[in-house]
Amino acid sequence: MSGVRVRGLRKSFAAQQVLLGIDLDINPGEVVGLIGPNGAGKTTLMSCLLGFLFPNEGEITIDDRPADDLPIRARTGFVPERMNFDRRATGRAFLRYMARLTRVDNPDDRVERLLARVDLAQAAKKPLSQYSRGMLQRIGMAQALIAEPDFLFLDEPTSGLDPNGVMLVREIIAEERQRGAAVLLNSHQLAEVERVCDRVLFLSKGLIAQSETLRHAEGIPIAITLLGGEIVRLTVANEEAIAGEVRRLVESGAGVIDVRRQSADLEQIFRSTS
Amino acid sequence: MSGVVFRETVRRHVRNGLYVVLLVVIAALALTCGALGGPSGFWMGFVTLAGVILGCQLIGPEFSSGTLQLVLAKPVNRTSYLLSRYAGVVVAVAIYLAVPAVFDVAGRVFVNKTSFAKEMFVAPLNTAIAYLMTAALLVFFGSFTRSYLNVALYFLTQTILYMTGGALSAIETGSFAISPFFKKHPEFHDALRQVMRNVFPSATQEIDWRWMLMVVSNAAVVLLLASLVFRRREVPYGAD
Repeated sequence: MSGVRVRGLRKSFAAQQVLLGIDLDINPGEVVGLIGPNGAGKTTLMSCLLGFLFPNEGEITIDDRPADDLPIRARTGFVPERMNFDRRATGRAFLRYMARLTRVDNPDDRVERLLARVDLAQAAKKPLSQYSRGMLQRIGMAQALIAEPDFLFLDEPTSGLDPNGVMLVREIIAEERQRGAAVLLNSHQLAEVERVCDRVLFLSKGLIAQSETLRHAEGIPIAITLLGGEIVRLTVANEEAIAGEVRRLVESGAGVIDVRRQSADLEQIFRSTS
Repeated sequence: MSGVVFRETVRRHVRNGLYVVLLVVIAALALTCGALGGPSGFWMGFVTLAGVILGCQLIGPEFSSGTLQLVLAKPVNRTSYLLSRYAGVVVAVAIYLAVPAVFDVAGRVFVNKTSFAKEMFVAPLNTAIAYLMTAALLVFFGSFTRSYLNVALYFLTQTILYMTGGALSAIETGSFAISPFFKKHPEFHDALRQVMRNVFPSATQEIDWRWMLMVVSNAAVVLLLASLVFRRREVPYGAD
């Protein structure tokens, strides 16, 4: 399976140019964060990827097919920033409708599993009008997962969620990555992006100003500061291996004063690219 | 056509409290009309109005609320979605005609006014056929507008056509400088009348197959235009 591929994407509204040539790849099993100031074009990019907007120039392919291809839509999940639907419908009825639209096998069974997964089994009988913002976000997440999508587009999925809800979304994203889904996460919450994304793209004035890898496929990059001020940078396979590396340095006679996971300073990059 | 969207559209209407209340009110009016031997056109006028209210909810409000984007992110063909929504609303309005028609007939039977046989079925049928065009126009206007602007455009078009017709009549009968021209060329007024008959058909009291065919084919053309527009419509979310 190929992932999401964007080449030379340009989009303008009348005289206003919003996207000025975006190149982007999201591979299966990769979570890519999209951050940038308001008006940078994040929502426009997401809308183009979902086939809601038609690009003026450039090419978007998802698994080598056009973005608005119906079989591709069946494999795509989308969480909007604000979930809106007929407020009289119950959570269960809403999810059943979404499952039938997506032509899921055993829709009722899938709906019940998802309601349990997003902690809304108890509230499934309630109409959406009685749902809090956080509950709407969670049911929005559930409808996006209804067909076990290969491509997941999330627009501010943690907005309005309490800490439990944020952790739930984080777990779900990790599960989706593990399953092999290509995920694009649009978020203003830099800490959240840093925790869940493999790579982050900084969008500014219609262009990808910077791309930063947060997790390397080969392991976790760490920086060990020694007593004399020297910094040893290396990549370890997993968190347990960090202790092993520190022990090895101490046994060789070096004094270790600090061990940190080496990560990009998203705040700093955000400021410099905005 | 998407059966899922069609069923959801019908379900959403018939489970709406306001829909049920209106149905009861119209059925009561129909029963009263029938019992008193009054004209059926009285309660059918309410059905036409209710039909416009239901039809104005097609597409536009869904776009503004973001529901449309949620649905279009699923594997749903846009034309199929549009036609299914249309069919759902037509069925919801057909229920408004069918149920009160039964009450109307019941009222007439109850007081032994037996002139219901043909007329009582023709009038609701013709109103339903005329509604095919009304709903098609509301879908067409909804295919490129937001919120409830489709109903505003519907009434604006109707008003402009009626006002133009009125102005032409006034010019023809008056003594303006251009009056002789329009008296000599009645084809302008005839053409306008023809446009009005095509765009806003009035239900007749008899079975007229030519009229029925004209309305159905006009509605089909309008739906085709609506689907062409809607296929190319951009639906950015978070638009409103």
